[in-house]
Order: sequence, then structure tokens, then C-alpha cells
Amino acid sequence: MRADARFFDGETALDHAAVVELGAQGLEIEGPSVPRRVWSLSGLNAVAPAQPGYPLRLSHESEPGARLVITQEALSRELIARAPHLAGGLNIRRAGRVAAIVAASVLAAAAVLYLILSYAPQTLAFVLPDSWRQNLGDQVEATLASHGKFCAGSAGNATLRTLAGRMAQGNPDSPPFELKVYDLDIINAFTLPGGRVVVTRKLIEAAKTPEEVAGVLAHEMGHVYHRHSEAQLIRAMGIELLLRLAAGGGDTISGLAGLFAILRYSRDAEREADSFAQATLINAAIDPMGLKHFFETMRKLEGDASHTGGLFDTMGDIMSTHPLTDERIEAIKPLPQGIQPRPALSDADWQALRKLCG
Amino acid sequence: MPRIHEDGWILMTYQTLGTGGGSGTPLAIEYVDKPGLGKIALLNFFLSVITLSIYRFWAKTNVRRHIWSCVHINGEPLEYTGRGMELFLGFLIVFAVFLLPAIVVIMILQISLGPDHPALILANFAFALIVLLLWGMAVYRARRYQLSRTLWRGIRASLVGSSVTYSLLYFGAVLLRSLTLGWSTPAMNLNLQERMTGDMRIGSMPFRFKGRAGPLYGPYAICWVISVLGLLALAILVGFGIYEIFGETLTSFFEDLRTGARSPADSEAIIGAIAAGLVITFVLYSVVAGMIWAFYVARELSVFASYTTLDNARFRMNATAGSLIWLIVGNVLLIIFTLTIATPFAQQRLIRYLCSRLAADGTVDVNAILQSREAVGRTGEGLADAFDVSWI
Repeated sequence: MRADARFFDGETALDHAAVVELGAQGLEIEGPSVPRRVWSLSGLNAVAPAQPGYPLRLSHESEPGARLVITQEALSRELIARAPHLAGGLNIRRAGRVAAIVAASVLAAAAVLYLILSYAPQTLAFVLPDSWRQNLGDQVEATLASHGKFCAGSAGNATLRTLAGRMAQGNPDSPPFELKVYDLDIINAFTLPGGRVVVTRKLIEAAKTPEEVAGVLAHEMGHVYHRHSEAQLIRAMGIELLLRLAAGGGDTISGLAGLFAILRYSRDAEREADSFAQATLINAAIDPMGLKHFFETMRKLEGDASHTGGLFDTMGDIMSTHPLTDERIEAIKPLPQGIQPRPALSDADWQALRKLCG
Repeated sequence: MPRIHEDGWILMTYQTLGTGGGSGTPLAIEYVDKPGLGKIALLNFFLSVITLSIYRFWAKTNVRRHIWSCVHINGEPLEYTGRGMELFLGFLIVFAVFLLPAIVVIMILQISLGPDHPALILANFAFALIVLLLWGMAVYRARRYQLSRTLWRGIRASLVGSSVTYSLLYFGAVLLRSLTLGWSTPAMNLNLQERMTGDMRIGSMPFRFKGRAGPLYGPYAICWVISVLGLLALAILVGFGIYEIFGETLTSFFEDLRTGARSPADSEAIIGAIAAGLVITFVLYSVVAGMIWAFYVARELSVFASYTTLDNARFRMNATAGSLIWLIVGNVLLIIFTLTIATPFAQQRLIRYLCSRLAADGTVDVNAILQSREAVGRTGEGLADAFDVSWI
């Protein structure tokens, strides 16, 4: 089948008249000013997907700039029948291959990122210089301070200093930490970067014995020891970085980073802190049953009200930042036989602690 | 200065691109619609959402391929040969050598020194300065990429100048604009346009740009004076509004502010009202100023078009303030009310506007156009994507 066509040779903008014929070897093109050439069918490409009623524009891999415009639809149809890839539209095999490549790269990238975000921050947390940790701590504590009154800290308050010292008894590995009490409207305790443990007034009021407060403290000391809060902040920054990458450096999504800034601790982190707490309490001869009681009370409270977790703004009670499970409560064991429990605080100090916020 | 001016340069590319013809033939530029953009828009939106916007490079490419193929010059459509992967690689390179290091440095400074440390403020300032310095480069390189991927009758367009020179000129224009309260704008816009258009080629045939900024100063002065007066009037109006609502309270508030007598809660309400008043003034002013400056932009488009020639053809652009306002307001509404899904249609409106209002007098010797010998870069628009300067 022969048809008239127009040919652009890719060397000049001249519009050449040509005759094309669909032969055995492919598309034969010739014209008064066009030397004869044969374009193989497999090397043909449609410039735009073929559409009925529109000229078919073709290029060929052998001549990058050259274009052939076929206006006669009968020839276009026959050509597409012999070379279906020119029809454009959905090529199932090609689409399938592209989808598979994309899916595989996304999965691989996600797996690598997941591993990096799971393990790297915990390692980096131990590399951070102390001054950087204190700086991070200052920034997080500033957020905390905007939500409630600072009551006292172990740096300036004798009762808190006694309590912190009592926790470290018999434990040479005990991490140095500063104990602070804030008047916040939630029952919670957190560890901030730089070894700061914050306990809320309501938590102290909710505790029935000094051993309950000491149990919570021992758990938070575990977070200090393992630098979990530093790791969480590094992880949050990593996520922010990734979001910026996806958004192309724009600020649009970075607000989301706040959402991730204070993620809940992972189950593993909680288990690590729990086992640290158990050892600390045994070394200091404080009855771990206090911690168990406290967890059980909290568990009951949780049943009464639903809790949202995460941000300081919407911060919930202790459940929201320290996910509690039955196993965790089960795992708390009493003091081994032969160790005589000693009170966590004297009666006088306990009363003083409860009155810290006035 | 309204942002609309930057877009003027972008508009000019398409306008100057609309050329070509037979052997010593006049030019006819036409936008010939064809179906398929709706499907592209929906697919682009869906895939961009599920890929956290990474698909945008391929999305952009699909839209350009469609819109380019609707622009017919003397009956033959333009062809866009860019690939999504090229844009993606360009983005990765810019991210790796510029954005990532900058973000990491600023993050580390923030961790180690705290958010209020002077070094951090200095770093942020340096970052902003570098962005401003590179902005013109981003504009120029995006243009170069798009032209090198634009074919007409198999002939490639190109941009042959240096992006460094252009970015310095651009930076100078921005500085001068603030130093002269905007009065350098017509002259500097002309400079930038002259460089951009003068660097453009279709195949071997150069575009030429020659003219003076003088005719632009009349419209510029009128718009400048009206917008300054408008700002004053608006500020007075809003000020009276606040005074009407709070009346006496306001005067006593300033009294109390000096003596410190008023309770903090009361002060908060009044400060809030003043802040709201400022925001309302600003928003209203942006809209009004945009409309006023549309007169100048329309004038600039027409004047710049008339300074542009290709071979023996001189361009002519029938841009009016009313049609520009309708174009931009329509596009903004289109994008907002469809949650950006209809963005390709907004871009189509822009190109169709230019095609329908652009014409050329005289002829172009098409036989004399040879294929471009400019090297074709492998990656595209990295900076432009990072700064979001490209309209299409």
C-alpha cells in the first residue's frame, strides 16, 4: 500500500513531499527531494499516541531528528496492525514491567530506610557530645515549660536530691540525671535529652507510696541510660529530612515533622527500660511491687478514658508515651529472697515531695 | 513588586517560540485542542498522591507533551521530547549537592547551638542569599531544558548563553529593584528579556530583541502611584474599621499600655484585632495591587513582543489587563476548587491565551533553518524544581 506523506529530514526545517510504502522490510520512504530509505518497523516510534482523525507522526531510531507525517488513515491503520506498539495507549507488558520496577525500588528503599531509622539513631545517640544533648534538652524542656509551672529540680531541691541519690544506691552503672517536677495537668513522667527526668505533680499525687514514684523513676532512668529520647529526636529529624526530600525541599510538609517529633517509644525501648528498672530497684533494695501497683492503677484509669498520644500539645497520660501491656506488668518481679526492702523515702521526705508544687 | 513580572518572562518564551513557516512565509500560531488532558490530569493527581509527590516529574512531562502537541505553527505541531527521568535526575543532583548539605548543616547547628544562636541565624541568612543568587540560574536552566526538548518540524530549539551571567544579572535586578523602590523594574526587565530572548534559537536561526525601556515608564509610573495611594487608602479604611468596632477602648488601650494598667486578657483581644486588621489589609492589597499591575504587565508583554524578531518577522501581542486578570483569577479558582487536580487545564489556558493573542508580521525563510548544533544536556530543571519557578 502506497500513500503520500510529508517528511522532515531533521537537518533542515524544509517540508518534503514523499511517498511511503509498507513493504516487507518496513516503511519505504522516497520523494523528489528525499533519498530512498527504509525504516524498520521495530525502530519506529509514534511521536504522540495514534488517535483516529489525527495524522500519525513517526520518528525512527536510525535518524533522531527526522519525522514522517502520515495523513492517510488507511495506511496508519495498516501500519498499526503490523506494529502495534505505535498505537500507544496502555501497553500491558510494558506497564507491568514499569510497575514492577517501581514497586521493587519503593520496597527496597522502604526496607533500607526502615532499617536505618530503626538502628542508626540509637547508635548516633551515644555519639552526641554532651553539650549537644543539653541543647536538645533545653529545646524540648522549653516546650514543656510553656504548658505548666516548673516546681523544683534536684539541682536546687534537697528532697529531690535525696530521692535521686536513693535511686542510685548500690548501682555504680547508674546514669547521672537531673530530676525535675512540673505542675502539668497530666499523670506522666518523661525523659528528655541530656539526662533530665521530668515527673508531673499529678503523678506524685496519684502515687500511694514513695515506692510507686521510685518505680517510675527507675524506669525513666532506663531511658536515660539507653539514651532513648536522644534517639527518638534524631529519628524524628531523619523523618523530617525524608519528607523534605519527597517534597523537593519545600516547607509544605515539614510541619508534619512536629507530629513525629515525640513518637511513642517502641516496645523494645520499653522492655529495655523495664529491665533496667528491675535491676536498679533490686540494687537499691526498693520494692518493685510499687511500680507494679502503679502500672495497675494506670491500667484501670486507662479503661475509664481513651487516650491520645504523641505531641506535647495534646499529650496524654503515661499510657500515651509508654505503651503498657500485660506482659510488661507480668514481667515485674518482687525482690529476690534475702534482700530486705528499705523505704524509698523517709516519711518526712515523702510529705515534702507531695507538697513540692505548693 | 508583584510576582506577576517573573511570569511575564515565562510568557515571553512561548510567545517567541511561536514561530516558523514555509520558505519566506508568514507565521500562523494556533492552539488546536485535542482530547486526553482530563485523563492525564486524573492519573497525574492519583499517582502523585500515592508516590508522595515523587511522580510529579513524570506528571509534568505528560502535561507538557500534550500541551506542546496542541501548539501548531503553520499547521505543524510542536513536539516535547523531555523525559520524566531527566527531571527526576536533575532534582536528585540538586538535592544531593545543595539542599541536603544545607538542611543537614542547619539541623546540626540547631542541635549543637540551639535555635536562637547567632550562628544559626547567620546560616539561615546565608542560605536565603544563596537561593536568591541561584534563582536566576534556575529560571535560565529551566528555560534551556524546555527549549532543548522542543522540536518543530524535527528542528530543536535552544538557549545558547550562560546561566551564570543571567543569574548575576537577575540578582542585580532584584537588589536594584529594592534600592530604587521598584523604579528600576522596566529597565531591568528589559535587560533580562533581551538576554533571554537574544540567546534563543530555533535550530540555527536566532531570535533577536532590540528596543528601549522608555515606553514602559509611563504605564509603570501610573501603576506605581495608584498602588501606593491604594495602600494608603486601604490602611486608613481598615484603621477606621478597627476604631469603629473598639471605639474609645482603643485610645484608652494605648493610654493603659504606657501606664500598664489594663489587664492582659483585654490587651490580647485588641492586639488580636489589630493583627487581623493588618492581615486583612495585606490580603486585600495583594488582590487590588495584582489588578493594578496587570495593566503594566499587559503593556510589558505587548512591548517586549514588538521588540522581538525572527528573521524578517516581527511579533505582535494583543495582551490586555482585563484578559490577563481573567486568565489568572480563573486559573487560581480552577486550581483551588479542584484541589489542584485541574492544574493541567490552568496551564492549558495560559498557553492557549498566548497562542491566540500572539501573531507575527513579515516572513521567515524556513528553508534557512538548519538543525541545532547545541549539545543537549542529560538532566533538567533541578534547581527550577527545587525553587518551583516553572509554571508548566
